[in-house]
Amino acid sequence: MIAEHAATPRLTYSQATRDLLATMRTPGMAFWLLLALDLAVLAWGARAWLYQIQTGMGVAGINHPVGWGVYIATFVFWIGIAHSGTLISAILFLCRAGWRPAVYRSAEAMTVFAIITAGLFPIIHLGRAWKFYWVFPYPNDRLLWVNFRSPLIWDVFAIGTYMLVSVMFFTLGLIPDLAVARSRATGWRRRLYRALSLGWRGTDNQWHHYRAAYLFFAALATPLVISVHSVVSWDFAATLVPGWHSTLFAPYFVAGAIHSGLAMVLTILIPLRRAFRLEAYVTPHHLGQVARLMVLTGLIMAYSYAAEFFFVGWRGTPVERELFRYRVSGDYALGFWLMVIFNTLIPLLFALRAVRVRIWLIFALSLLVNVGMWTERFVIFVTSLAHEYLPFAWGTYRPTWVELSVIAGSFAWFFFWFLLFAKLLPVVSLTEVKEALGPEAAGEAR
Amino acid sequence: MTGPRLKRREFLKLLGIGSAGALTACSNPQPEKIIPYLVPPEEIVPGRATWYATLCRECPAGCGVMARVREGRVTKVEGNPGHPVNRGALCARGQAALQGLYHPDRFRGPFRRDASGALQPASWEAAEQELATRLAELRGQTADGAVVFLGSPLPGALGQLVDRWLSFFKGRRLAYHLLNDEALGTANRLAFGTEAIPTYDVAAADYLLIVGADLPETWVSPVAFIQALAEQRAVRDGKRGQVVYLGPRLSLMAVNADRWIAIRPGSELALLLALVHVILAKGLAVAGSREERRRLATLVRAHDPGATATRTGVPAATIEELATAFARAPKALAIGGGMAVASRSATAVILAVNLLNWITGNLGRTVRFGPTLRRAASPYRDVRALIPAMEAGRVRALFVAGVNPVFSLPEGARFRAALSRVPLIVSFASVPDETTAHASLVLPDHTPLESWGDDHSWAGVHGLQQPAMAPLFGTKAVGDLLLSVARRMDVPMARAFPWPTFAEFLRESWKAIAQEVSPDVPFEAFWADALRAGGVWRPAAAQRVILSPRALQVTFEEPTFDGAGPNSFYLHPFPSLLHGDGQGADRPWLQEVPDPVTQIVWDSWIEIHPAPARRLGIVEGEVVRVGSPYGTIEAPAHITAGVHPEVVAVPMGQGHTATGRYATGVGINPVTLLSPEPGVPSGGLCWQSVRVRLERTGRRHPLVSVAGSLSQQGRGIARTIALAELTRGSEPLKPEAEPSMYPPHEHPRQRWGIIVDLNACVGCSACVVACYAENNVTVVGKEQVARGREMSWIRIERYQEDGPGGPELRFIPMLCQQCDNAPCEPVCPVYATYHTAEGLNAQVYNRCIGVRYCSNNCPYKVRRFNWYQPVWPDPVPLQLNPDVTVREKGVMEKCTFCVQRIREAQERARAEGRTVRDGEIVPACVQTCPARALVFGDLNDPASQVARLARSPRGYHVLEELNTRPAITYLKRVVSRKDEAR
Repeated sequence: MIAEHAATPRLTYSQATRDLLATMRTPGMAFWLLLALDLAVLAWGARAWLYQIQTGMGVAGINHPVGWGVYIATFVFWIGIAHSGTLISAILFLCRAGWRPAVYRSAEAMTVFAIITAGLFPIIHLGRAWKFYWVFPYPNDRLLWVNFRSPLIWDVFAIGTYMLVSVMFFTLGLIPDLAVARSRATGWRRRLYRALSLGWRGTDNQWHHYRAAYLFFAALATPLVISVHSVVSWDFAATLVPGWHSTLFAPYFVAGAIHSGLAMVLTILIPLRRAFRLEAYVTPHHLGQVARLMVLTGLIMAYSYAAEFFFVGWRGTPVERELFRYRVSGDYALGFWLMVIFNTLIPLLFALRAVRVRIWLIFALSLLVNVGMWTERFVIFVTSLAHEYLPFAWGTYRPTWVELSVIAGSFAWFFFWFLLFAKLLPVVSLTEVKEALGPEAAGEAR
Repeated sequence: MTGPRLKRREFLKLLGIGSAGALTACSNPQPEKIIPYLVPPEEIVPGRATWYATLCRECPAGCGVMARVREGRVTKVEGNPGHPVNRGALCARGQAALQGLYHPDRFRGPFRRDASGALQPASWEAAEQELATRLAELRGQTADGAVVFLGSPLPGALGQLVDRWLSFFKGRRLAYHLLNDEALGTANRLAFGTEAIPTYDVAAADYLLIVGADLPETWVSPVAFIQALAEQRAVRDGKRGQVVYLGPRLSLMAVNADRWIAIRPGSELALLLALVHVILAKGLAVAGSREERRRLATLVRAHDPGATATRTGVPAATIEELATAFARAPKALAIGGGMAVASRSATAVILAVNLLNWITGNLGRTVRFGPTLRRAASPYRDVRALIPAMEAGRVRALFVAGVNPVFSLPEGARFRAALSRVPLIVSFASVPDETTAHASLVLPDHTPLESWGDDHSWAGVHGLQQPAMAPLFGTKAVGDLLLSVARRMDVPMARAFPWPTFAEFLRESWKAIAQEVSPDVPFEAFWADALRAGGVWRPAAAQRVILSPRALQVTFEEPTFDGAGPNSFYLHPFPSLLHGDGQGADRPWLQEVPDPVTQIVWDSWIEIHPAPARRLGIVEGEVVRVGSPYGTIEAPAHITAGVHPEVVAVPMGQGHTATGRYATGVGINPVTLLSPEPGVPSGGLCWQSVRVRLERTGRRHPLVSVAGSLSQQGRGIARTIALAELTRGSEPLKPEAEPSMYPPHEHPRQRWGIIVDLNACVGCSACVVACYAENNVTVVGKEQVARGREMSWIRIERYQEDGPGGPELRFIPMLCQQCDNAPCEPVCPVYATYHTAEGLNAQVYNRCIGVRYCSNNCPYKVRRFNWYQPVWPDPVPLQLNPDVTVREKGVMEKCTFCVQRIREAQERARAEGRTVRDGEIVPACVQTCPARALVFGDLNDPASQVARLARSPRGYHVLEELNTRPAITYLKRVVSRKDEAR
């Protein structure tokens, strides 16, 4: 058993460089198998989507009145995942949290990949996916324009901005590391890293500008964490739909996003750390810190759930009351109770040291929170649409194989990028690990 | 947008056919030349509709219709505003006549059965020659009744022609109508000495007692009755008429009554006699001599309320109350009839109804023999007698026209077997059905919209039917065929039929009418006027009738039932609003539109009361086996309190095995459970004469209902108002909107609106079918409806409230509310939906990318998404309305208030240099509504009818609290009892 606060082992710069760049060695059989499996699932999902485009949205389970189903739930889920990267990276950077260097690179990569995955879903759920570019306000000779009153247009901008800033933040942080990789790589990789490291030579002047830019991006990204998910929540909050129409939604969604993002960081980092033998860099202490943060976010979720019910009781409109009765005891009651247990009770276990020191347990619980957060989106969207104002138009919804295949495909898409990332880029920041080691580690190496 | 699959060549061909049809107005089987519009016929302007007045032949009511013709094809039928029977309205089945014309399974030419027993296409020449040859063998050597023409009632020239033709073979014509109410005619003959059906002045009745007759559904003349019921319900001088319904089931009529008294089949006779008893005992009788009353009192002596209460289960107090109310009402009316009373005592029941009307002095007041309706149908007894004649080999040739006896006779299987003994079976069916499957020759008739004909059922009403378009396929009118065959026969016969076409014969026969109606007008002018108007009509003189002494000499006997035994139920088959006797089952619109009472689509079901269902352990959707002494059917159970606990009710019209792609394999046919013995003395089919046993099968067959919840959850969607409250004066609609961040919409010219009068609406669903027809709305089938994907732009929502006398249903038509503050508009990312200057929420199909956000945000849930690419099998594309875009998969659609009609009227007005007149624009739903429950107009014009009605104290907006400011104002249904108003 590893003590939670075990001191970082004495490492040198050269050892760190060797260890961390070792992840980028030529992949073995296991990697190729994993990649092949991933591509197979991705191909299946793509086939399902093409089938849907060709045949019509009818092959999905969405219907009248439930016009949005698991596609939108998964969209919001991925947007949520996309949050923690920036949170860990930018906010913890601004707060100077000591455990950040170990985890932030993978968290940022996760952000970028999650957002390109999330971005697919609004297109997937379009009745005429081939017209998706109509949501962009581009000049055209038909004088068509977008409706800036529609929250979906706000989404286009919020997500687009977030994606751009995340990508820039991610690539900026990579520059010094890629310069190191450049010097060790050969062939096409060398050319790739040369291009991406933007002529980095490690001069004082460059370091000076780099630090300034990094701080600037961290400051820029932080409000975006709040804004992007607030805007996504307005897709729902700005409607009349009971169970959606609530001012609580923006903070509620932001909290949920951070909560699910932290869970996803754990879900990804724990196997990664094992696979690349990074135990010395991503320590149980680091994982424990993330888990402890989830106790807080879990409590925020619990508060949000309670507040939703409070507001419904307080406003007292019969339509909302009936909806919340339906949520807890109707067709989707199982989902509701899963969401409550997985998102609020399970994370409380992280308060126990006995849980935090068992890495496999952290992993298992983080998976449950991921499931719970996906279920939360499903429950919010589907129950509200299924049980609206006109009782005659009430209905139910059940996803079909097409929707499930597309969702499986989206996970494959996400992991495809992640697998590439793991082999092409340093998964833990060399620069910041070395920074944390301090100048004495350099001396020993020479 | 992907358009219908109509090829350019076909289109041009149709243009040609259209012009040829319009010029010659005759029924050439095939166009011989394709005439493009190089020299356009004067009255045809491409893009502008031409209207032809003709008749609806979907049921024998004889409503007049106008067929809208665009570029040579009929695209819509609507009620003929000038026709006295339906006065412009049309029912759901009438609207669906279009789908008979464009049915993809129609025969496209004649067929003959070859040696192997398969039907093979043939030429008309060969088919006619074969028929003539085989008839020539029969000619001369035939015994009486060897040639039989079994057809639908042909109440005009065609019937005369057929009779004349048959006389050359000593043949016999049987006019078969399954829902013929033989007992009605018989009882009227017994009571008043005439078999005619009188005029029931429903609209004027203060107190309406209906025994069985389903006025808004299939009985006699549904459209006319719905109009009358709506008038009767309307509040006049602070009063409105009461309606009491006696029957075993909560039918559409029962839903629209103030009170439904559930009774066992067979007990209505005792109840009616008890009413007479009470009226006599209380000295409320006003008609008849002292002697007549004494005799009547003797007849009903045994029927005092106490004894009747035990016999019928209706409390004695209720009986006394009903009798008193009926007798005291200034104008009361009792109507009996229909399948619900067609027990073995059917004639006695209607006789009792006649006596009730007579004794209370309502004969001549609300029951008037003028104008009268004469049914041209033969009694069921005669039709049934055909079976033994066929079995004995006495029938050598059988012609079947417009009927389907293998399906609709209780002994259908026996009839089918007997067909094998008939050497020549000629079917004139235009679509394959169970009977055609056994025909030796299929000589397809035109559909009614392609045919000539006439109808004189109502005294004084001469309806004229003309082809609205040239025949779509290689079919031939029955009349033309008979003439053509006659010409191929021997000289005397050929000479007896000098008319080149049936149209000529018809014209000839109308010369007598011209003589009678307007002797001073030249016939050509008279004929042109009749064609334009759809017929001629003049007021028919009322005939004075008196009670026949024979009516007081009858003995009333309780009906008997077969299959009695412990745990048996009375079987109540009821005619379906949408499918009638089964003729409407192959119209996909009528399958897809839900039955308003149960909201079930594309199926049959067995209605069982919850109490016996619990006892037997039957659950909703479980397949139960229903066994009578005559047959067995299996169908899913529908548990409902809308049926008497001792009764199981089964809708009719489904259960086809070979009637095209839409009807085949859907539901079951309860006729097979019935006793085939005709009733005495009427000779009618005894619909209520068997008791059945129920058996569970354990299998499930989920019924597809479009209704989410039966309860309106106290949300005030379908509202009522007590009469007392209304007359006291309640507050009018709150006119002003809540404050908004955005400036209000300007509606500088018009703001269109609809008023929906829930007090008039009976839920008949005609508006729904009219909308399907007008707006090219797709049919998606049972499986997709089960997933909530029906495409209807307007629907009849049904909610149930618990009333003192059992469940009370309320209907509310729901369509796009064209909100001023529409929740759908701001959420659309691409402006595919936006607010027009006339207050419509326009939907631009070409701009829609299908995010479905608008539908999510619509609290009325009236937007419909195209989940798949619509499928229009050939020749359905020809039926599509060219003024309405056909939508592609992936786009949203919804009610437009028939914007194409608004634009047409506006353009017409502009061309004439005036503004649009109030009432000039009528969307399809408003146009067809038999109850006149819908009114369309400009809310900006304070003098318009809609603006006036919108200020009614009965007015309200659905979900008003959401501040959507709908353009639709609903008017509350007026109820009489205080406890009903919610």
